[in-house]
Amino acid sequence: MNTAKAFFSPLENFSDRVLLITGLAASAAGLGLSAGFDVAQDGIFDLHIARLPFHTHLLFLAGNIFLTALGLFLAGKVINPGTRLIDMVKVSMIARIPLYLAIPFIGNRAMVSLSERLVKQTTSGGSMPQMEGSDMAFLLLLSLVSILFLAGFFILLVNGFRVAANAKKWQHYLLLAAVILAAEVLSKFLYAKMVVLF
Amino acid sequence: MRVPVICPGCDAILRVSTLKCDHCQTTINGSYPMPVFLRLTPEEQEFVMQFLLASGSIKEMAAQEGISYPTLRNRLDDLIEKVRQLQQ
Repeated sequence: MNTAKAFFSPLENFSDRVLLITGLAASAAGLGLSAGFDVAQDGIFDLHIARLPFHTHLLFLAGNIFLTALGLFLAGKVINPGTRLIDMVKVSMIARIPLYLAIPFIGNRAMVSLSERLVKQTTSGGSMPQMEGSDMAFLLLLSLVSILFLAGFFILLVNGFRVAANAKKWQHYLLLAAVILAAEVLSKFLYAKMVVLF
Repeated sequence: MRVPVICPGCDAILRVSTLKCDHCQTTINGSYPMPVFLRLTPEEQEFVMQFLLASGSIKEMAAQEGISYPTLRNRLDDLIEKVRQLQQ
């Protein structure tokens, strides 16, 4: 088995049991990281520093997995009537692993302190926030790392969808992009309501 | 030994022209079409055999081979498509 291929297209190379256990374990770890580092997963592919109660982190995570899986499932049904929801749930859980790995980079003490300093400078006075060269370098590095993890998320999502729905044509991937964008917008809308309620 | 199904000269599908009984040495000559099963690749023939032995259960096959259900189902869907094309 080609290790790189197996890593980026797990649905093609591992058994259903392994995928389900990995997905559940990763989701539990992702929830722990979110609560531990105070990073809210407040969107399908969003990570923001926010101190929230544990149950809100849980609702966000469950919502992300459910909305992604539902979107993939509906798109999959259009492409292939034999598409199963359970496969899309596994894809949705496993694709989030790179996002969980990004949490310690976003929620670490240096980033939180820099973020608070910049917000304070912006809100206290009318002038532009003062940034040192090291701050810029740090933000640049963080941006590059975040983009890599985000790319990992999309690679796993697209490869998982391709296998779970037997997608082959470019129109199928266009449908996937539309569904993911719709799920992202819906998640932002729902979570804004949810934060007010809880 | 693998039965050749494609002509090495022009890539057309071969036909069966001679059949021989090893017991009494009777030889039958004719022009018979190659059965669809034999026109599949050895990997595809093996897949069909495994599918049959697993009583047509993709779930059981996936568990035996340690790969996911949709991966096997996709292989089966692609094979069904190929067999349909071969039958036409």
